[in-house]
Amino acid sequence: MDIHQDHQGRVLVVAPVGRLDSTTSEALEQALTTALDQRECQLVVDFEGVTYISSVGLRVLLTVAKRIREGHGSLVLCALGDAVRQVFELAGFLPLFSIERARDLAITRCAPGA
Amino acid sequence: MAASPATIMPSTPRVTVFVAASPAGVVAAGNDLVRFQADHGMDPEAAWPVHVALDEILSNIVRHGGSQGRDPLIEVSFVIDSADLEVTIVDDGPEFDPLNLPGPDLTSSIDERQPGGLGVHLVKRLMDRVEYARRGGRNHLVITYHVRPSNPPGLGRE
Repeated sequence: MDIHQDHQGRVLVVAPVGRLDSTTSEALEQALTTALDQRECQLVVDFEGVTYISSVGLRVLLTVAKRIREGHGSLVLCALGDAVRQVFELAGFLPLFSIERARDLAITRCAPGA
Repeated sequence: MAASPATIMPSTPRVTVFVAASPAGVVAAGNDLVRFQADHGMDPEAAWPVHVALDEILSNIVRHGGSQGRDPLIEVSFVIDSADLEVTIVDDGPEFDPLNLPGPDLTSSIDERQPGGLGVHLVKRLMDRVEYARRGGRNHLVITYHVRPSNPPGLGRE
């Protein structure tokens, strides 16, 4: 899958494109893990281009969120489409994450005053 | 709950494919589903829950023993009956009835949250009907999704 990455000040925006399922989620996991290893600790994941997500994709996000909490960074998700939001809701994931409507709002929330 | 799969009328459009119990097989089955939907004027976007459910079920089989069975192939059948899309998945791995699994942890904090069981939970919640039977040493799982009226299948599409 294609994963676009873009720095906005101190925030790294990661935008996967396509479906986040059992065969594609590993690419997102690698991108996010690499970012964390390089001490990027302010991350926005933009779901604008994501058509749907399965449990493997959810697992990747949970793992990354736990690591970011340990490292005192921040993770904000944005632009969840209906399909993605519905899966988050069914999985009880909505309360676990900071979620914004749009990328610019997510960047501001991720690094206030940046 | 675990009733036999619905009887299929001979005239009902049905396609059966065999895919390898491997990640490549999971991709192939997803592509077969897209093709089946397109052939029957159904918008794959409208039936995205079926794609999620199929991915969950097949990746579970690949992880938990499909390849340990005698036959490393998984049989996947697609049937469409008006707005109902039915998918039957048959594998000869160890007996596994997803309907008997306990529900996942949906409420604990992020530090304590365990992601186990989420896939099966999503299948149950996203599908309108899920039926399981163990027959002839094989797992038969039938999932049915009713394509919602707000998403008319393929209207106005080539």
